[in-house]
Amino acid sequence: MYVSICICARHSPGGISLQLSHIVDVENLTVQFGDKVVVDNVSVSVGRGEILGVLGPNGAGKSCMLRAMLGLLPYRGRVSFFGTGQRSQKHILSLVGYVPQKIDYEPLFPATVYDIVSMGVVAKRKRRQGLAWLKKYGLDWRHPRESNTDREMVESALETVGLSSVRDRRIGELSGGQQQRVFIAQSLVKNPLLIIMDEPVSNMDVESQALVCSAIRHATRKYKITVIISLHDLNLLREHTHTMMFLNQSQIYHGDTGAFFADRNRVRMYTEASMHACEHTPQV
Amino acid sequence: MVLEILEYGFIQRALVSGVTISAICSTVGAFLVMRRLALFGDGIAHVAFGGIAAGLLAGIYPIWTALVVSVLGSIGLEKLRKQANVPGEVAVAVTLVSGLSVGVILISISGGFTIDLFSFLFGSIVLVSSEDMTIILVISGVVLTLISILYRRLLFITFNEELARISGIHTTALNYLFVAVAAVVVVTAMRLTGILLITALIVLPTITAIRFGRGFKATILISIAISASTVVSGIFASYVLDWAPSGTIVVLLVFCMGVTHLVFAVRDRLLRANRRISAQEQAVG
Repeated sequence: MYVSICICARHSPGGISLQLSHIVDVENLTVQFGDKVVVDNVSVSVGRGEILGVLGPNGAGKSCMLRAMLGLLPYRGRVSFFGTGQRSQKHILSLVGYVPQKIDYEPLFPATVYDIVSMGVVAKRKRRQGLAWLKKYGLDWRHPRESNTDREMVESALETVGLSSVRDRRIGELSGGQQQRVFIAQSLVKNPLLIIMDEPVSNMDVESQALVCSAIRHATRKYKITVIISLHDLNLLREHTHTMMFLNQSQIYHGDTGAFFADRNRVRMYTEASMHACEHTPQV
Repeated sequence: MVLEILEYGFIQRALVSGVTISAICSTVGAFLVMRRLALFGDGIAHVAFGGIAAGLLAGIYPIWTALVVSVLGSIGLEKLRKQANVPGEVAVAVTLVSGLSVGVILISISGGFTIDLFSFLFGSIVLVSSEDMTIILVISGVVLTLISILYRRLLFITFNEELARISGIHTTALNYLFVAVAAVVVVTAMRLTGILLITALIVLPTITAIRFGRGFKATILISIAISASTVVSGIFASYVLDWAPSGTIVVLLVFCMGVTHLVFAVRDRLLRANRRISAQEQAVG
């Protein structure tokens, strides 16, 4: 199981002190492409160790909201990580894991599963060594070989997502679901305080979905990692998240997961919105 | 006969320089090919052509002017790709024609092609002097040291730049540094294959090695082995057959790639057939 990720209050990257009670604070986040508003005035706070599920039909703006929070899309509003009032600083981002919905890479890329997961160690190391002025540009020269601890962390993360047996296979040889598990392991190995996951289990079979969600919940409980996860599966949301947000361009609900599912009207509203989104999806 | 050839100083210099150049080209080539920038070498070599023409016109050692112009060209290419959101292949095409056109104008001003310019166009590894060899060795040492220090971060950026950026890696600075290093490699390698065939040294060994190597590092090492052995065989073959070394080396690289892909294709077909037969046997049994 997931044994070596140890999150504690020691994180103070770049001399910035972190308030671990405020992992994410989003105020009035709006994302707009031309005239089209895709995320409208969303505000949410996420505390330490919390799992926030983001629910919404296709095209509701879930991915855009998550990408805007990470600074990958332009937005209006305020996003603050770890109570620092900052989001885009490199050393703040090095404490954030991200599992995108789809990863674009060269299909022939000759890297093994182990190689891909161990890339996550780069960010972790970057925080703890290097000359300041070189480090500012990511060019610090004191960059030792992978340590035994790093190797253990990579192995442990692989075990967590159930991929130890394929550690030496090329990433391109894996199925879509297995590839998503590789990227989950890569985000875990960074030793993060926060992991943002954009539909990470969408290509997985039911067994893998349960395995990964349980591992995420275990890591959250044991090491107080905060997770923001967008999911379509209502059962997974009900079982694995503490709070949830129902998004359909604007924020329709944000609160306790139990309270959301206790209100049948809200669940029906989601089902109707999903059906409406399906009807309006262009047929290929 | 081999020992006899090895006694010549120009062959010794050609071999040392050739093997060193093949090592840096294969290393940088692996990153370039996986970034879908296989023609980067071609684009930068044509920019270097402008630099060489400028050097010959101004009476400066052309390699220095080629180095400066190529590094500036590579930074311009990267800026075009990132800030103007121009696709990689288009940015290479723009850089290539810009460099070449400036070179043609400078040559016309200087009064036509010279023998020196032809040696840069088609390579002249057997004409490498001791000073040239020292420069090649020093540049290669610096390039390999830099790549080994930045290896993990470059690998991450090459795999997926967005993920690398979110991991706190300064992708912009590293990208500019990498393309500048790649430009230096291209100018250094011009001695071996010339401007017109430089892409072969960057692309072919990597494409061949991908069939063998499982990890990125293994692919680079196999690519270096293929490239270095081809360069050594090419230099010997060109001496014996009295062919142009650059052309001979590239033909050998293409042959190597063709044979490798053929062997792996046959192996894959046999494996598939074996699997099919064992599946049928299981079904019958």
